[in-house]
Amino acid sequence: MKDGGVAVMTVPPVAYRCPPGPYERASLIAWYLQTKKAKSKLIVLDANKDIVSKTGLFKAVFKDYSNLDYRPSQKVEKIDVGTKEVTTETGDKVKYDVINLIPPQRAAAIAVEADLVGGDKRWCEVDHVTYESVKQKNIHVVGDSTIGLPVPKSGNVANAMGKICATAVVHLLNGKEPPVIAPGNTCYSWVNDKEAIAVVNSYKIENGKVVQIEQKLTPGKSVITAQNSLAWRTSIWNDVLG
Amino acid sequence: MLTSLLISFALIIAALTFAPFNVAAGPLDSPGAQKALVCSACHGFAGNSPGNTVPIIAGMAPNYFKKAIKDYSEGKRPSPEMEPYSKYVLQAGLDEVADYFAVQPRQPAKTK
Repeated sequence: MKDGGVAVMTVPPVAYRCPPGPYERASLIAWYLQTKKAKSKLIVLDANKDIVSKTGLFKAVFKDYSNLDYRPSQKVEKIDVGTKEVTTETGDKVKYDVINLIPPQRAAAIAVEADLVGGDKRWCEVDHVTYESVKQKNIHVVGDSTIGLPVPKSGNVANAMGKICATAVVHLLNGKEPPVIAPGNTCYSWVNDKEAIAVVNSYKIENGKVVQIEQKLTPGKSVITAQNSLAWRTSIWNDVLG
Repeated sequence: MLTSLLISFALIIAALTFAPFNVAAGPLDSPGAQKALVCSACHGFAGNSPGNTVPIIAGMAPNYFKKAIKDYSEGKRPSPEMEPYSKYVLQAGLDEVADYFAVQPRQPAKTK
C-alpha cells in the first residue's frame, strides 16, 4: 500500500476466536503505519457495540494512534473487490486500499457434521468437568469450539482444557470419577514493537460449572508485560509441542 | 466416511471402556499434580519453566511456595499474572500444590 492509503480491518460479531486478537492487530497495524507510512490510516469496522476484550486498556492504546479510526456497531454486509469498497449494516460505504476482512466464525466443519454444535449451528456445548459433548456421548470437545463456559477462546484456555479433558478421559476409561479441575486464562496483547498489555482470569468449579474467581488486567501497556509474554510463549509452546 | 470414522472411534472408546485396566499410578495421578495442570502453561511441566521471566518452581520449599502464594493473593507481592492464579491455588488446595512442586526434580533450563 502506498503511503497515504487507507487500510480497513473488520471485527466479527461475538463469539469469535481470541477476543482481543483483532484489537491487538489493529494496534500493531496502526503502529506500523505511524512508523513507516505516516500519511496512511487504519479504519476498524467492529460488528460489536464496543471493544470486546481489555476494553479500557485498548481504548487508552488507541489514543496513541491518531491514524486509527475505530468505528463500533459497523457490521460488514458486503464487499466489492472491484471498486474496493465495503458496505456496513447501517449502509455506510468505506473505500479501502488494503483490507483485512475477518469473517464470522464457528466451530470447524467436523463439529458441525458430527452434530456437536448447538442451536446456533456455531459452537459446541460441553460438560464443564469432562468436556464431553452435551449432544453426543463419548465425544469430548476442547478449545475454541466450545461455548457456555465463562472463559475466552484463548490458546491458554485451550491448553488447560486439553490437559483437564485428557485427565478426565483417563479416569472415565478406568471407571473412576474424574477430578474436578478448573482452567485458567493468561492472555497478552502487544500494542507496539516494545510494549504489551494482559488480562488474567482464574476459575473454580462450583456445582459442576466453571465460575470465575478473579480477572486482573495490567495497569497499562509496559515493556515488562511484553517480556513476560515472551516467557509465556516459550513455556506454552514447550508445554504443547515439547 | 465421517460416519464410519465416528463409528470406528466409538468402537475403540467402547473397547477401551470395557477393557480391564491394571496400571501403576502415573506422574499425574496425585491430586496436587492434577490441580497444578493449569500452572504448566507458564511454569512448564512439573514446574520447570523454560521461559526467561517465569521462575522455576520445581523443588521449591513448600513454606516458601505457600508464603509466595499468600502474598500474591493479598497483593503484598503485586503481579497481574499471579494474583488470580494464587487465588486459584488457594481455592484448589494450597498444601497439595505446594507438596507436588516440592518433590519435582529441578531441571536446568536451556534459555535462562
